[in-house]
Amino acid sequence: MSLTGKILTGILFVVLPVIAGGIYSPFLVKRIKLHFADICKLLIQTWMYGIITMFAVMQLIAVPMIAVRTTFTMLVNVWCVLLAVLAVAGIAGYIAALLRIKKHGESAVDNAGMSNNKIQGLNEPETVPGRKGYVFWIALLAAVFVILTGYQARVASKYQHTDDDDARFVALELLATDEDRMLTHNPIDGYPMYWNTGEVKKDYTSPWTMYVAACSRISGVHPAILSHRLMPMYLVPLCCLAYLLLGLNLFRDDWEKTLIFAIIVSAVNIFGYTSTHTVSSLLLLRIWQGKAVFAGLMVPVILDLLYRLYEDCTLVPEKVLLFVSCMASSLLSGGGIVIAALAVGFYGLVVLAKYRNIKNTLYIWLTCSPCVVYALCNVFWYQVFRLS
Amino acid sequence: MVGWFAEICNMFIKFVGTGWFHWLIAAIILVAGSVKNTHFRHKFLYPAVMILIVFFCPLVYGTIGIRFLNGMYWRILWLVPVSVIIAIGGTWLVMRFNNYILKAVMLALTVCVIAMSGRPMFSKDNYVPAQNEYQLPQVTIDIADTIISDSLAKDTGVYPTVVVPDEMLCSMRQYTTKIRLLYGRDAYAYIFNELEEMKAVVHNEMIRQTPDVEKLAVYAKAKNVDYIVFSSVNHKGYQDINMHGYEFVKNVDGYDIYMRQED
Repeated sequence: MSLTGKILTGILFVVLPVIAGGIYSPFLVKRIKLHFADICKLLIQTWMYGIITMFAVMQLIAVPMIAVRTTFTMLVNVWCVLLAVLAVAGIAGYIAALLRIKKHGESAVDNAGMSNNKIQGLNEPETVPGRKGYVFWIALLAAVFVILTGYQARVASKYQHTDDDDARFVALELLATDEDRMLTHNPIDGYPMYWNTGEVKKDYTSPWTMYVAACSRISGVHPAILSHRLMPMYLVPLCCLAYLLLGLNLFRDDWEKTLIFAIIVSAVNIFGYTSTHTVSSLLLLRIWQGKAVFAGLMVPVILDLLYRLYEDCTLVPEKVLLFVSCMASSLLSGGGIVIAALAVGFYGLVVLAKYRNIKNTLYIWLTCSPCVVYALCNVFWYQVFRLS
Repeated sequence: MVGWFAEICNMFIKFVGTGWFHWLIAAIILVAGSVKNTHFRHKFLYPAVMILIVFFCPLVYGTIGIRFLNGMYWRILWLVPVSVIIAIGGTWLVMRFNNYILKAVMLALTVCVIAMSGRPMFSKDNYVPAQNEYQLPQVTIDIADTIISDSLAKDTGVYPTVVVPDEMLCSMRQYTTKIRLLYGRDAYAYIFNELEEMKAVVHNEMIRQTPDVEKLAVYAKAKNVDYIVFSSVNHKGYQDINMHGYEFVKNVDGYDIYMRQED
């Protein structure tokens, strides 16, 4: 594996998502004084939402392009153009956020629009008694969290785990990168295949393998190396950070509680091999597969957004992000299509029970419309596209 | 209905596995938290209960589960955030103390309880040292390289069709698409529910310790198989296949590769 490949993979999985996530920054940062903790939170959010947006963009273009049987090269070219547009929009988003910070006054509000005092322990002047001990305690907790996250990513990346499902996923990626074919051949034996067959039918509406293949084509790294070795290095920390964000939301930006929460979640994951079906098992054993990314990353992200909407059902950015997340979930797996829709449906009911506001509940339910569309595509694929 | 419910219960038991203690702790935290805190009840208890009711409903399974979530109905349980609920409970416990040292001790104790009640993910059962940067069995790569170079040298023009022992069914085409497999993982119903009859005959012979090489060669030739790979450890008496149209090419890492002779 070349150094260029490693660098390009890093750009695709970290740098570009952080830049692309800038499109949400004007909504994410309403706080005027940007402190270290706020910047950390903003970077985590932009990385997370940026990569989810990249997933959503791929889903948007891949499904129709597979349907009309274009080449894989064409898909990669279109995706690259859209990523460039996304990057420019992201930079514009960061500039807009900075202008907003300059323009507005000094009141500190969090992204739910509520005043926030919990973080002040970190932001208090150094002369306040007890601040030093508090900062040291937070730094210690942060160090433990970083070590645990690094440990999980390191083991998942360095050591070899064999999963038979890769016979389909990695082979599909290889068919795309080497032979420029998108889901036209049976990945198991390599022969041309009727599209509407068995497990592969799900991949037409959830073409996560094409996302990985596109990253492989751009970086020049073999799909097996990218999946087994490099992707755990980026995706495992991302999943851990998704739980950190969830904690920040649940504990209203209280970093002490959030870090304790994230450390315990990491412990549950590391010692969570109670069956092969659990979220922990998928997260730490086969994070390169779409269903694992859905379980490890999208489930906490979707829950986080739904908990925020439970706090305030009028929030528009959260609904937009939920829509994008549902689109991304559709890319990841056939199960993701149904489960994301179920989650939105259930929490929509909770919001309805709390606010008795049908209009906002309907808006929340509408965010899962991509799932409904792709579920229908999956069921009526043949009738819709008339391909054989 | 009863049959569907029994299937759902089996799925639940399989999903929880050895994690009953974690589910029990999560349930206790859910109930305790809900008594004290209305928001907690709304955010966690009600959705979890709704998800479990839907999951255990045989009608939902019969109408939606079998049709749209066939084989993955259990994934609905991912929406019950057990690890999140345990972590919230643990955080409450740690935050009951004001002293940082006591907090650190309580956090360590919580992690210890989780560790002792669960099973480690990073064990020798799940992870082994990587043999190469592909993280695929090295023997698969060596055999694939040998076959590719051999077939290219003969300038066959098309990718060779290969029959391999079961241990290579899943890994071979993760390394290269320049090799086609006669059946691959489909030998155990994956993409196709049933294996074609002639392929099934070949696979049945390949999984026997002493394959009937004459029968194997006849069916393999009928399906245009270019190479057959035998394990010199697990297979016995296969050398006679050179009398039935397949000649020995090379031994690679304890596997004998045979190539089809031109008729």
